[in-house]
Amino acid sequence: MLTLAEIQSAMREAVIAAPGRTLLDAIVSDRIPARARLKVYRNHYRVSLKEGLARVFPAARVLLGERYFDAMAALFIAGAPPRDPRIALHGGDFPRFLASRDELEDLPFVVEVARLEWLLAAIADVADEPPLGLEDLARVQADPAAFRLRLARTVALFDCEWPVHAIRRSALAEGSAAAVAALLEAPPPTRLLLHRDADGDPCETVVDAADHAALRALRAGRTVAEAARAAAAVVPDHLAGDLLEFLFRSGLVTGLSASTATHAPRARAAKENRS
Amino acid sequence: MRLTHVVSPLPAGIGYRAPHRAAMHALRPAVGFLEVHAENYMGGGRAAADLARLRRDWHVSVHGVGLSLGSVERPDPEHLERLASLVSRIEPVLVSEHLSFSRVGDDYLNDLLPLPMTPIALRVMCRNVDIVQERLGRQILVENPSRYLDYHGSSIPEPEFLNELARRTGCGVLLDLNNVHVTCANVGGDPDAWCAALRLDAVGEIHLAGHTVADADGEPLLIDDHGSAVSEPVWELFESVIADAPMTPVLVEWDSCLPPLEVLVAEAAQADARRARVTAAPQVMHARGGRHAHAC
Repeated sequence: MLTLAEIQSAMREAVIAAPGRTLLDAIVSDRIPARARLKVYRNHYRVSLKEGLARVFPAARVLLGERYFDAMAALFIAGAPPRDPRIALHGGDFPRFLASRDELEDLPFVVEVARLEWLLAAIADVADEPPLGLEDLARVQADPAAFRLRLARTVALFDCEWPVHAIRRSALAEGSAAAVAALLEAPPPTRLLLHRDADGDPCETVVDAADHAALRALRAGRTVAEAARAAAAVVPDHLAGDLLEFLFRSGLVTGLSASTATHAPRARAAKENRS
Repeated sequence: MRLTHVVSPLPAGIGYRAPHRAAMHALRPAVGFLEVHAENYMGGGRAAADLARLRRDWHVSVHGVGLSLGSVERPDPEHLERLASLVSRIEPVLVSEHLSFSRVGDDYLNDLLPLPMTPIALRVMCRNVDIVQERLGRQILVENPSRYLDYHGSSIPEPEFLNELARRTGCGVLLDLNNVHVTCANVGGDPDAWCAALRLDAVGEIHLAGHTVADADGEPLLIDDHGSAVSEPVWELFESVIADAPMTPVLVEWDSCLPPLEVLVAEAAQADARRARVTAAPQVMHARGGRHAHAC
């Protein structure tokens, strides 16, 4: 008789890969062999995770074709079991897995579409935070330009050299042929502010290069004035006021801080720079 | 048939699934409660707002699938915190999980894998249920899963395992009658005897669902797919059990091949009608979309 830990470890192998002899011997085989019984669990594991990936990466699936996507999903699942019981969060490494495939080397925009879809899925699940409004900014006594904004955890920035935004939308609305047309027609590159809309659904807002630079600065813990300078470095005389108003009106700002020493986003940015 | 007079059981509930969102608010069905999968509502955004809105009009129960109570490891503290946060936010009428394991080391296997029914497994389950109840500060219900296999060396019949788990930890039992039917068909046993061996006073909820029949090397194997109407043998089992536990909350699950909401509501109404018939209970008065006096 296997121990409980041995049974659980052997069941892991059986579900992810193939059942070992000791587990097969530990299972009652009567009218139905142990291997056929285990197959129910293996099938459920694979099918449910494959369906989960299809939900997270719908446009990538259109672009790759269902058969190829499903084959890639099966390979990925075999090598990357979920680490979290929330299946909606399985697949964070799938874009990197696609990028590692030699046969996709000539289709780099597909990997970028998958990367965008993962960010949108991750945003969907982030816990709610109380946002600050413009009235909170108005109450600030000091010069607001000296403040740092804490952007909501639902905010992500995306940029790439392909017109991924247009490709993804075309793929979902009209299929892969339309997505190819979008690839040829839409102006690259893509710069997106990803966040949640008023209904709580993930959404994309196209931003220009200057606003993208300002957002990167804010995410890195720079002051509002520094973010404005970052934008102006890209487009001289660019006004960051509209962006700030959009951030506040969309509920994407969750904190204001005048402190330089203890601001968490700044510390995180420094760490990212070191790596 | 024994007839039992009861005052007013909670009308049967339904498993809530997001594709039914619009229909729920348009139809406002008079079901007793809604059950949601905990793991789908641990974040924010649309799902959290949706659940908060539903909570204003219906009782909600929270059904977890990710705590892996049967794992030799203790429950993942981060996941337990997420569940505690959800329970604190929603204040559900019931919280439930499963007699199974899904986590092995760092890997989460996304299924309700069967435990050997042994004294060691019982000790592990008791330890983990204690941890969860201690953190949540409330009783949970533990559901019998559908089983497709059994292990040599399993020495405790499943209903007795659940009885002992409830006795040692104070947890309740979520009696899934479809799972009883499926398990008995797959690994042997008589569903009526299975239910007769279970302490009904520990049962805090009954689940009903559909199953399908698959071919396993030429032999039929029942699959608990929650993708069809409740089968007649399961209804018959339900009538037998509910006659002895008439106040128990009942829920109809339907997860795959999701039908229009009306179909699911009709299944819940059928559960109410069958309960009323075998218990001679007065028909429950359904207030449109409102909350109901209940006994759970």
